[in-house]
Amino acid sequence: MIWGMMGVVITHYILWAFFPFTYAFIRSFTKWQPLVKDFNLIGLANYREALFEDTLFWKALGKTAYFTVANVGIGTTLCLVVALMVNSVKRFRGFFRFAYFLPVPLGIVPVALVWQFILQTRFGILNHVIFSTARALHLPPPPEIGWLTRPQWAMPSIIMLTWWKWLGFRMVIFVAGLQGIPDVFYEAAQIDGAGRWAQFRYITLPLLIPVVLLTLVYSTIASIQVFAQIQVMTEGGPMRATYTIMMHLYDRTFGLYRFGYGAALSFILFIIILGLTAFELKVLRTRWKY
Amino acid sequence: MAQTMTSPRKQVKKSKAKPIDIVLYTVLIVGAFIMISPIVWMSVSAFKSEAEINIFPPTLLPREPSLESLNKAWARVGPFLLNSTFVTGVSTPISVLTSVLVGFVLSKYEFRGRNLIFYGILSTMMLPGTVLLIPNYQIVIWLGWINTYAALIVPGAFSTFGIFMMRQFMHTVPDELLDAARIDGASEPRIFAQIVIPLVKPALAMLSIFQFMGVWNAYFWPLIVLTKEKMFTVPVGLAGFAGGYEPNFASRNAGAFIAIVPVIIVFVLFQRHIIKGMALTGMAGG
Repeated sequence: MIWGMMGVVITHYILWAFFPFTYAFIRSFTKWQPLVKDFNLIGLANYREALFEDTLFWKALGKTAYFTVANVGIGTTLCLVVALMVNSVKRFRGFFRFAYFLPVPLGIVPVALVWQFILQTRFGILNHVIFSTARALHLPPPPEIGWLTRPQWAMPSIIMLTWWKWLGFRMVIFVAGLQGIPDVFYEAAQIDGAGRWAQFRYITLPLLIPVVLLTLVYSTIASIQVFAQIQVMTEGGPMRATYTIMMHLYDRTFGLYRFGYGAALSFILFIIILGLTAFELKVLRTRWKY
Repeated sequence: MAQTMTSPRKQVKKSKAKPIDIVLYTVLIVGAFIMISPIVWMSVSAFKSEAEINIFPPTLLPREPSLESLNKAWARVGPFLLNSTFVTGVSTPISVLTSVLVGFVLSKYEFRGRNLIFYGILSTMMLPGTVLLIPNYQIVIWLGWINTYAALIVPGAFSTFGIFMMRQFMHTVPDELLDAARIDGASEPRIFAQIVIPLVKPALAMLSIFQFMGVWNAYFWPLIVLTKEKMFTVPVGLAGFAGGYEPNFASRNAGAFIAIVPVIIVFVLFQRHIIKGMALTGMAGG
């Protein structure tokens, strides 16, 4: 009976994980189109095209890097700050946790639609609030900001949305981590005369590093593969300002039906993710060990 | 959690309102407002008529509340909800059940190849979704499963995360208990159903909620696998509202509202489980 069950499990994973992985890898060296039967081995042509001939690929990589640094670097810091604040106050913690976490379980598509409406240049509530606030403070009226229509604001808008959506998630993890640090450490440090900053630097931060590290790794992997909010809100524009690597992969694979090329892109992405993750783990582990 | 763990010494100290606290509370409250306001805005705007949505400058509360936008949105989103409900309703119990079963077997039974299987399954977690997307899509084409519920349900029938989580949680079920039951003559399935399952209920609850949300909100996979609008799940259908296809913000917003309401209800009811679960998974590897 157990063997039967394991058989089903193994079959499932072979069918949907191991076989596809291997197959895609092999086919990335061929000209692969969904309904075409031929095998068409073309060697490294797909990879060569991606790395040396496809300018959009590098542009997309740049946009992805922009997004990833902002979402992982600044985003995580923001979450940490909020977590520290929530952990420091004594009351209403439950309310804050609820409020900050609320965006997390909501679907990214409805959320993106709502934000698209909020960020609408003319009819969106955000610009209206900015305008009204400036007027109430007797400041000169600011120009209508084209959040999703101006190339320089598009990616920041996407980044803001992503921060908003995921703040609560990381914050909750950090708060749990903070509460796991025994009070005695802080008390002992206080007795030894350590100020708040020293306490933070030598107790809080090092003990939080494992949790922060894990969050960084997850965020990096997720950020590099960002797709839904961009496709819904800006479709990679305006003028490819938000054209990330997943948008590029989607376009080539499901727009042009070049599966071989898409597979090559996905494996390049895989290597990048592996490399970044290994880098993060190594750098942060050695820096904070004591 | 540690929230209630205050040492006796702390309770004796009188808490004074320090200026730093006021700053903290203010910042946090402003932040909370920023977090909640888009959702409140969307909910409130869902009850505005089409004409009112397109007013400039935009209104805050609806001047003339109407169900017009919601009705219009429902006409389109209704079928999507049915699809999503079916897929989620079938997929969630299946993946939770398989996770418990496999987690149980991998944890409590010794057999050859057990570790190989477990670590093999675990290794698939390391693969970014993108790498498997294209070949899985090809497999779906081969199977003729484009635009079918099967394509949405079968690949997700086993949840690697779920298996991992349940196997870990199984460690809290004492082997002695199972052995005692066996000595008493209980069959294995009976032991599983009547002893193990009740003991792992909290983990089951958390996993169910995760799976529910994961399947309900899934976007990329249903997007590529479904091409006929009548099969669309909520995220895919709603995304169709975004481009130029539904330029009317009223319907879009109302549609988003309809899509979010089930999730908000689930969240409000189960928020302690959800938040605790997410915090634990974040800590699990740390």
